[in-house]
Amino acid sequence: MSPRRWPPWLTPAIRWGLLALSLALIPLLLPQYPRFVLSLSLVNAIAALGVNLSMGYAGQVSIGHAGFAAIGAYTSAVLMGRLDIPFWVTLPAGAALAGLLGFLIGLPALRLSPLYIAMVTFGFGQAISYLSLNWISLTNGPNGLTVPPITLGSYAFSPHSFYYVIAAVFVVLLWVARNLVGSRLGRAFIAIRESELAAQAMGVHLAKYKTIAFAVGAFYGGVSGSLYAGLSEFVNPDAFVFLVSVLYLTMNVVGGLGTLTGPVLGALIFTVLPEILRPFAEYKEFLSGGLLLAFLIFSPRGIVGMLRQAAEGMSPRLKLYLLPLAPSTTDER
Amino acid sequence: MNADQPLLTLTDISISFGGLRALHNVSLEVRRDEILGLIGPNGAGKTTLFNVITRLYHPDSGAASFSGRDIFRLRPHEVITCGISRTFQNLLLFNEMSVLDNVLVGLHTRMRSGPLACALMGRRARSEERGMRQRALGALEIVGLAGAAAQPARNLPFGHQRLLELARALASRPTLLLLDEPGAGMSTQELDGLIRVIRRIHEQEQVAVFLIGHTMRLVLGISHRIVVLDHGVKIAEGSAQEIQNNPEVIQAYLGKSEPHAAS
Repeated sequence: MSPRRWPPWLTPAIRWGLLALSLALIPLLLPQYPRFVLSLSLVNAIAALGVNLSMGYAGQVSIGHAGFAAIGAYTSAVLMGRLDIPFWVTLPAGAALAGLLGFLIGLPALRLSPLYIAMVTFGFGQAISYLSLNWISLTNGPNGLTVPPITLGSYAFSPHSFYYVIAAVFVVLLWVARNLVGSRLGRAFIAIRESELAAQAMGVHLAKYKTIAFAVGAFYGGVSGSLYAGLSEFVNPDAFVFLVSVLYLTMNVVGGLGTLTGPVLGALIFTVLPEILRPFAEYKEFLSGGLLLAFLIFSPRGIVGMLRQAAEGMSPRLKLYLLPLAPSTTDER
Repeated sequence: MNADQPLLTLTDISISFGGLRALHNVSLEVRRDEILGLIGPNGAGKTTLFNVITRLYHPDSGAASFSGRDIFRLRPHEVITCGISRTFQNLLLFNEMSVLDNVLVGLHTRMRSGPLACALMGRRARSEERGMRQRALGALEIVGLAGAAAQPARNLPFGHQRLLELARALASRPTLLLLDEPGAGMSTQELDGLIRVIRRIHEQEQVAVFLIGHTMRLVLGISHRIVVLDHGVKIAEGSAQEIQNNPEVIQAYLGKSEPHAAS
């Protein structure tokens, strides 16, 4: 039906293979600390993908996503530290709990306008933040919780080797996001974002799909938090403050809301950049805030959107090299 | 179901907004095998009537039966499941989606894959997706847009956007198609194309069409029967010929004639 943008040999299978292969090989070239930063980027990318699914695709604003990450992180830390439950159980448990809370947050969303949904999610993030600070018997308050080493059989992961766990989960969740976006569910999300009236007339149950969007986004947040706990081996309230929610949002806006590559690119930029600009650490918020504003005003479609626009007038050959960076929803299958 | 029985029966529909009486005791029937036109001056209540049928507004009084079902018990998203699909006067496309994906949303209720199946895209979900893409392409072919399937909907010219909305409404194979001013903003040439498409849909897909028209060319040229609304009241019903000669209709459109001019 449409002319192929690239030769058939570059099938999706090969592209996913390349992604997995580069994620497996790149860390071999990296010293320990940069590898930790790369792990952190992927952890953030998962959370940013979650924000993107609820906000970028379904159009349901979320500025409390750090709250969902905190749920995942504390679920892992508490279950592992207090009850000796293995990480591999606490990871899905934390994600499921976050997903459930996302679902509950989504319930009032049907009756609220976008501004009020933003406030509900903000309030949720703040509530979780205060809970983690003040429910000392559970969370150990501001002193935080140490996460016991993660083991598989007799093997104990170091932050070094835990990278591979993170990378594997990241690839699976990216693949799931890709599936969702190109499916009946993803189309219902986008339809709601584009026109609720038309979506409803086509049989999309608005309340149902909005709550699913929140639940899926929150699930991703929970996974991210749980992996964060495993990576940093320590969880405290500072890791999930309001600014973290804003950062997830910034990653999406700068990378490109409503695209799959955007949040990943954004997460990479906003995790690596502060490390490079360490000497100017006190200007960090200033920088990310400035970038957020600049992109909102000048390029609301983010880097991926800019690339796509640039590619529209290009020769097919150039597109071949550029577009894999910025695939649209229709050529992602 | 008896073939002679009307597909949609509206009885004494009334609705007002604040003090404004938008519809007053409107009764009409849409038959299974017809194209029914709905005309009336601006503000006559045409779109309001569509919004009542598709459950966006709940009427103050009146009854509606579609194939024997009471549609006033349905929620808005359930209307399409019983076979009523619509387009909008002010074009509500999913602009950022591809043309094909727009039509696929029209097939939402025809698909079974739940959230988990969509996340994992197993064999069954994939084969459903493939089948539905074929079906969506088929709907695009009917309106002549199959060649533009991969384009973003926002890139289509205006007339084609109207056709896309028609294909999206058609995809679920409704038994009743509600078209709200499908020809608005179209050139004469595009309008003739639209008339052919609506006729073809009506005949090939055996779908009853209920359409609102501003342009007489479209409504008079295509409808088997025409209903005329004025200030929320049905003032006439009949063939194009009868409507055109009906003094009340002429008066509604042209205003009251002077006594000396009437004789």
